[in-house]
Amino acid sequence: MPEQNLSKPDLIHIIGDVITKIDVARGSLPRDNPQRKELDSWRLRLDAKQQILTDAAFDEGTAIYQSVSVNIDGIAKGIKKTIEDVNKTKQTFEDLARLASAVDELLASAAKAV
Amino acid sequence: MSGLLYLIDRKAVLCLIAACVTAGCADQTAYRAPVSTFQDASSVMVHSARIYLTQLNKVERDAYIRRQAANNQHIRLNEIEKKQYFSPEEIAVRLEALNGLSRYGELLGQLANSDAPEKITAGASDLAHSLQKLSSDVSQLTEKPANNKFVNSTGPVVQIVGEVARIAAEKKIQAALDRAILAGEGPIRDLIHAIRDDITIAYERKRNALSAQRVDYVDAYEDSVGASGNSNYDQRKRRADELIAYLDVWESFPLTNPYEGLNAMADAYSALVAYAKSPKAPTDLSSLADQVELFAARANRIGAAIQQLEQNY
Repeated sequence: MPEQNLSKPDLIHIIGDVITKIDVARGSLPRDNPQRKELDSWRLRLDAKQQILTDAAFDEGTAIYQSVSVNIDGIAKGIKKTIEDVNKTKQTFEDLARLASAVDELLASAAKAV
Repeated sequence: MSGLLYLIDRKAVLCLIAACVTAGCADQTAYRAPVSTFQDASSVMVHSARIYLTQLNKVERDAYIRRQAANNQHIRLNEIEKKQYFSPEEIAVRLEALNGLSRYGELLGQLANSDAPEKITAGASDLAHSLQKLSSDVSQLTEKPANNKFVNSTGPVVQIVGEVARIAAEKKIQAALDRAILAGEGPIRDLIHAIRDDITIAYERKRNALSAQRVDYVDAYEDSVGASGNSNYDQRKRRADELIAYLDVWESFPLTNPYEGLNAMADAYSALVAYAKSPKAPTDLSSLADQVELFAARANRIGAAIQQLEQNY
């Protein structure tokens, strides 16, 4: 996966990687565990965002696209490092919120481009 | 599908190339083995890609239903409709394009293998006609931005194939072959990449859905834990076996990713172009054969993995 000039399929793959990591984490917890419920909720949200992203079109040469896509890649890498560490739960959920916001920002730029 | 896999016989191809080089065959003959291999490998890739596109809506639909069931939520048909990534028309047009790519490979094979220009002319004209229809169908997709890349990449391919057909009609087989390869590289690569991107997205959505099911299987097993007695042991064992079988599917799923196969297909086209431009020395032919063999190997691996997945899941 390239560090720069990320394409739309690259971003969908990056979000997919986070989702599969979330699945490992929530599959390691009982269903009634509060952390599991929060992970279930984030999984649903990211799944919905990934699906919306599949339908969007971007001008991948714009500065905003490149900036936000690199940001998404960086946040995703951070989540993958912390999500299995029970001592970093707070940071993981904060990063998941940042990831969701970054994807929203990207989708907003797509709406403007079209 | 399995027949296609066995068509690509590496030893036979290498023997043909070696015999051809030794005998100093004419240019037209020299193309035969690699173009035939390319054609067979293309058929495998197109078949694999077709599975992804046709399954995409099912993946989304099934994932929605499983999600609702897992969360004790109601199921609504209008929600299912919203989950469809491609409309039936959008899928049909992509399948038309895939078919066009496959037939274009077939045309290259005919140009390299056939001594009957009339047969080539009829085949090429028929393909050009089909692609004109494709061009018309594609123009209906312009309202949806996600289709832009695919839409923009089909027009040039339609134009080139028509031109090749005209040259072939003049019974200039070698000229038509050179024109097909030389003019075809950029547009064909663009179309392959556009389809590759759509299929990569389909692959990712399927990976997403399969990943979620891992958790469903673990949850089902967990629900059977804790109770005592033989009947519960039987149920627990059944859940454990289901989980084992499912994780085998999950583990092999990355082998089905068509991304590298479609990249190799585009690279093989480029190698055909490079050969057409070359003095056509034995080393040029050998380079072409290597690239096409790499494509065939990837196509075979992906085709076999998809076949295995279809059988097991």
